[in-house]
Amino acid sequence: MVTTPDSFYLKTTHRFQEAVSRAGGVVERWYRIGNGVVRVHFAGVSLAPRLTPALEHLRLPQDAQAFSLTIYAWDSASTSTAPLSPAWPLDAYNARGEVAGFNTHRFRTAFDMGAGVLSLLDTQERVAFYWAQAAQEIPYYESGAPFRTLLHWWMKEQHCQITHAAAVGAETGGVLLVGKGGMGKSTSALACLTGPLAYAGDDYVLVTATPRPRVFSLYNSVKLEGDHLQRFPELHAAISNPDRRSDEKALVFLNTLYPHKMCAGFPLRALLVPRVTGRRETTVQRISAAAGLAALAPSTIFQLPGAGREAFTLMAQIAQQIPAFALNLGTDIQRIPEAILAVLQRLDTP
Amino acid sequence: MELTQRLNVKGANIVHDIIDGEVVIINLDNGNYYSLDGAGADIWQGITEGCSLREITGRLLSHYAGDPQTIEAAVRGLAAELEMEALVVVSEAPSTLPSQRTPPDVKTAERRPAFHAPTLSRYVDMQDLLLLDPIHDVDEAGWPHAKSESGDA
Repeated sequence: MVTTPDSFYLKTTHRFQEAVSRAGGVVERWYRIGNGVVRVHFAGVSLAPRLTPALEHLRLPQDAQAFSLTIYAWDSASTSTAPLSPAWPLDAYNARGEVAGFNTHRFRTAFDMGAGVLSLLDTQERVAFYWAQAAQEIPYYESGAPFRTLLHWWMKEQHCQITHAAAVGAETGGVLLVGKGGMGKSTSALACLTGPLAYAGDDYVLVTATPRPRVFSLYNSVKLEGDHLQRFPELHAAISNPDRRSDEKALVFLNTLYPHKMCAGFPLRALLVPRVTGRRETTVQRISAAAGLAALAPSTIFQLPGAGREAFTLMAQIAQQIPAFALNLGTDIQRIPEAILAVLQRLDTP
Repeated sequence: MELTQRLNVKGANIVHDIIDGEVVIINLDNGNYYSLDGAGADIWQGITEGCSLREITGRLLSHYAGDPQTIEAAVRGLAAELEMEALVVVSEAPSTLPSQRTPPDVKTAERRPAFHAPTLSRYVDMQDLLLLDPIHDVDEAGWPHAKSESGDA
């Protein structure tokens, strides 16, 4: 019998119900994500602690309001259920984990080969499934950005885009820090934790282009490498994976240290493209909108299954509406927030 | 490449936009992305509007101050480079109507800026985000595992 997206979806539904039954119930969480509310049901108690800390700043009281998406999440090991099996051949995966033949108008299907996570979304029923073999084997970077693929698909339906960027600002407006990894996005955002600017995200945030560019916070996590740990020693106490391997980054949930700095979002006033200069002073210079888009779009698109023309168009709309600047990062990182504030003040000046 | 030929953007996996006279192009298949400005952006715009290479050359001659042979060679050269990068293919479709195109920005001779041969800037730093040869091992249930930790960009 040929397995179709419909029949695989049905099989997944039954396996989740079996997991709930064997685990003795669900752990339920509600979150405000973008302009919508997402409800998550975890089968049993093992998976939630691995996936919820990064979203804690967006948590809502249960049953507070109508939800727009339900995610059913489970792992096989802790619920003593048989693992799901792929219903497609090995050559069905594309470079970003999407499964050929199982991405239709209604369904989205992808398997993250690094994290070992299956993501399945039914856009018609507004239901999603998240499955892993074992909660304890979920890697730190998945804990830092849980449900990323599902939320990417779902938010696209809401005209929002998960973006590889950091964001700092105030309720009246802020900046999106964009560029590939290692260019200084995290350093810039973390430097703002002790200043007047609020923090909306470090690695992935949600953006929309209409009616005006706006960013929404998504995760409160930050992944720290060696130089970050030296520059921000105050974060050491909150490292969630102290027993990590030498090739893993330290994961910190900033909501535990700086809950007052977490911000749900703000209007976007500028794109900033950080560059490490080695000079002491941090400076800012205007760059073209295309240079801003080139820093923003590729590193987002190539990390998200199914991201393509629509994502590019949305990010191009943002780049067309707000100015872009190079943020030439100095070695005195305490001055970075001042430089960002100066950009915002300059944009406020008629 | 013949001047009578027209080019098409090669399929849905080449996404592109022109913002403030600069072009950003992304190849979703291989992770490469590109930028063009100046005359290069004008050539790209002409391609996307269905102009032949001769028509694109004519547009550039009415906009820039430059030797016709130099401009023609630059158009041919960039077209060949775009084709080699698999961003465009030679079109078999009939020509578009001039009304579907952006009117050429004709400048009087004394106001034309100097022509500079276009440069296609090519960036390959996103390729490591794509698992172009992803499957390393398959577990008992049949799920593949990547060679590297793909999610930690």
